[in-house]
Amino acid sequence: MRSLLVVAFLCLIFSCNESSKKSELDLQKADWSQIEENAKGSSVQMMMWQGDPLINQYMNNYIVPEIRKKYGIELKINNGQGNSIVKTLIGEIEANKKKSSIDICWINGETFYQLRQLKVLYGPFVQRLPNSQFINFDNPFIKFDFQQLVDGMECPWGNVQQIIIYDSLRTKLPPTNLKEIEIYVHEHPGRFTIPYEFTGITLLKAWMIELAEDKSVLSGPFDEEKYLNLSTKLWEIVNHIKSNFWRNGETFPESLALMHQMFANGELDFTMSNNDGEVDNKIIQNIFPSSAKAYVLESGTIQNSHYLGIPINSANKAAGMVVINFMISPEAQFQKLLPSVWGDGTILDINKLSADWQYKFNNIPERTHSPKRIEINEKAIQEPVAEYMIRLFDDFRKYVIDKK
Amino acid sequence: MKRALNLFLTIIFILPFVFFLVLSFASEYYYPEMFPANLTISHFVQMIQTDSSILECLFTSLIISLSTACLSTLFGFIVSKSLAYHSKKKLFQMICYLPFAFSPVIFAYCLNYFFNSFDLSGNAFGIILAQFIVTFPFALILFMNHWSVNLKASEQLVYTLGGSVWQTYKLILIPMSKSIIIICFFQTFLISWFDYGLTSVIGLSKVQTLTIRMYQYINESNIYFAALGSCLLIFPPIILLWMNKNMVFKT
Amino acid sequence: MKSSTLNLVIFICLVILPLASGLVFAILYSFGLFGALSLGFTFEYWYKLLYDQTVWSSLLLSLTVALVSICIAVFIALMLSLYYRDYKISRSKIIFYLPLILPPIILSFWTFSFLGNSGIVSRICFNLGLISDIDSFPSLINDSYYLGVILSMIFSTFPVFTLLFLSFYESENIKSYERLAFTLGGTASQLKRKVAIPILLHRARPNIILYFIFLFGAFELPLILGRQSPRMISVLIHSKFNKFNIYELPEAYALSLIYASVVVFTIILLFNKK
Repeated sequence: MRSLLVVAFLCLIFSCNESSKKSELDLQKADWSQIEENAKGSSVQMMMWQGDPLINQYMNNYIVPEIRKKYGIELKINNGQGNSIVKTLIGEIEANKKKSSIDICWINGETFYQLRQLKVLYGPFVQRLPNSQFINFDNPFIKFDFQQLVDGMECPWGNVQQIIIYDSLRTKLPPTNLKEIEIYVHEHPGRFTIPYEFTGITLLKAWMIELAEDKSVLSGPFDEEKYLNLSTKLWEIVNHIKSNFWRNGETFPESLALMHQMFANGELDFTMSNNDGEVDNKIIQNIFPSSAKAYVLESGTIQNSHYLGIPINSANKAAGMVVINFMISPEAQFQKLLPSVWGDGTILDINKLSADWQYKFNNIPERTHSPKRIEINEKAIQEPVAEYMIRLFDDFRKYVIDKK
Repeated sequence: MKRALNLFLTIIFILPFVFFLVLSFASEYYYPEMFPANLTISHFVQMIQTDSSILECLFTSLIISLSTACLSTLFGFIVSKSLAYHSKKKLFQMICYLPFAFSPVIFAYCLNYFFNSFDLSGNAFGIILAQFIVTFPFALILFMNHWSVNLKASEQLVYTLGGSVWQTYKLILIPMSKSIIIICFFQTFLISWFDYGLTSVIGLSKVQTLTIRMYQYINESNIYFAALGSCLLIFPPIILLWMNKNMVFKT
Repeated sequence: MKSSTLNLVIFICLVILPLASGLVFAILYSFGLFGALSLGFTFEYWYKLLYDQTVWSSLLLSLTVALVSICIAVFIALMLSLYYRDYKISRSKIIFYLPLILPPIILSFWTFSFLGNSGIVSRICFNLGLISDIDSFPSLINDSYYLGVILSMIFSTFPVFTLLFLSFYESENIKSYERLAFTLGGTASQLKRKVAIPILLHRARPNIILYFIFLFGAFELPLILGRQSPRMISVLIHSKFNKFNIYELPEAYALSLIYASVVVFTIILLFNKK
């Protein structure tokens, strides 16, 4: 009996190792058709943030079946936000694991920065993808990820700008700058809060920039003095008004989905999103009332892109590249852009596409509850370097949440 | 008075189950309505049709929990005998309490390195092993108290009469321990079935068990799917409870 | 090899080895002796951790929450079991098993849907006209006092102890002691206070301590129902492991060790007094 078990164990272990033999192909030189051929029949593991049902549905009900049908690749998705991706990959280097358990990861900003520092990203690979010719690399919001040149080490996937969402029936004149927010919070206690996750931290960055009254104040390398100066001012303001936040500012929602729900239930007057297409998307889903609207702050909000990376120890790099290539194809990008699907901005340069696609992209059912892209583009702020984000995450806890 | 208390307790104990069942068929459950505006089976349809269907999670969970329960009951039964008759029984017992007294997440973080080194993280096999590390000592504790002087005497008797080891197990030990074996099997099954901490850390959420999926639904505030997931997650224990309540809880 | 030796080896490999290796690994990591970013031996992480206010408030909070929950749960269970002892409840006893089959993740979802601001209780209050809008419902979830967490813990714990006490009541033959005390002239309340309760509590002591440890290290409940500051110990450790600042990983291991020492200490205490 025992020996039987041992045999079963060994079989399992070997069956796990089997699939790695395939990709000996030199991915930097091989023909794309060879890469596709090589990728056939393999299975790809993608780690991504799964905090939004529609995004999950887009992946599970569109990308996964399409990839299976077109390329014979089995795409599997698991949950893991940026920090868990970094944590997982660190664990793998420490354990000297030859084969990563992730083949594609959804990253940007601080995750990209950390993964590059740890040297665990494979690349450059983006220029190898046939569809990368359509990417709009002239756009600095795509070419730079938190001030860091993307450099082919991660492939742009979507481009979005932060918006604030309110209910136009409940709130007639939403506050458009920090001063007005202070007044609003004072007059409507308990109706405002900041989510303690990346969306909220993104808003804090925009506020810091507003305080400096200079859009480019945080560009360039991390500046401790500037940071301390601006963040101290910011904490002062936030601490001053937080007793009138939701739950008296004693606790902050930790997931955006929860915040959306509270907004929809009428517990909050505002929610926010890093994706400017989110209002229309949530109205279509019946999550937000049709009176919900989005706007950006007078002094601007942050626009950034999100990307796809391949870990250096991935055993299925070829298949990973094929999957990413599909995810940036006009059809997948178009699907993703539809407000009813996800409403995520495209990273393609529409002018480079075929006439057919140009027509389609230009005639997408217009979003009705969010300002036009061109309008908010003027108010777009570039992401400061990742250290600001990391520091704000820690310091918001230290100087706001933990402060009694 | 007694009646009222009984009724009250019955309601608060049964309410969650009713709620999950109703909510998994509901849509448009807006505040402050008491009841959802619509009843629909669309969540079921959607969840089965979607690419990584919840039935797959159910299946994965079943495989993992059944394997964990089988392994820990089997090993627990055999190994505990030597420990129970050992002079250091007390010490062994104390050590056995540790793995499952630790919060599974923290234990998992501390062991993750080794699972990574042996290529066991992110697959079902690793999860089974990780859960086994917790359920095995649990099984040992259950069985250690079971071995008695009485049992030992019967065992000796078979040996004296010329019986083989296999015969002792088959004729004496297993029949005499049947109920504790069943209890152990179901209890270890439940520990594994309910586990979230070990599975999420060791499995990197890659192995989609029902609890992992549940967490995702809660995380995306998808209450209808979360309710449906709850129903599936509660279903097997309810069957166990219905079969025999002692399997779920042993005093 | 003798089968008993083999069994001991299995025990060592599968129980002691994982415990020991996890422990050693955490120690090495916390002193900077291991890790992708380690810079060699240092007390720095321990130093930082021990001077970190949040760590101590988290430990204190976890102890308090676990203690309060277990005390209330045991109290309710005592009352119920004494109340039910003469009552033929074999049929209604089964309902006490129901909360036991709710895993923590579902339990927290339930508490959320029941006691949350948009939950069932709030809806009832609204429809009865007790509150005028969703805001006036008191915060019971993610609240300052950890009420949501404590209530869930009580909800899942008191049925266990009720069943436990009822079974002890039978097995320890408490009834005969009571009869004895009664013939010696004890009153009904004296029987409870002086006879039944001490015996039950004494008998259930290991279970109470064990449950206390479980609640102390509870993860899913405070993760979903707790608040951000202070956080319960498992949640704090979890977040330290998943921080954006990856240079703080050693602190996470050091904190795990502090937690582990509390658990080990309690278990040893439990065994030495038994």
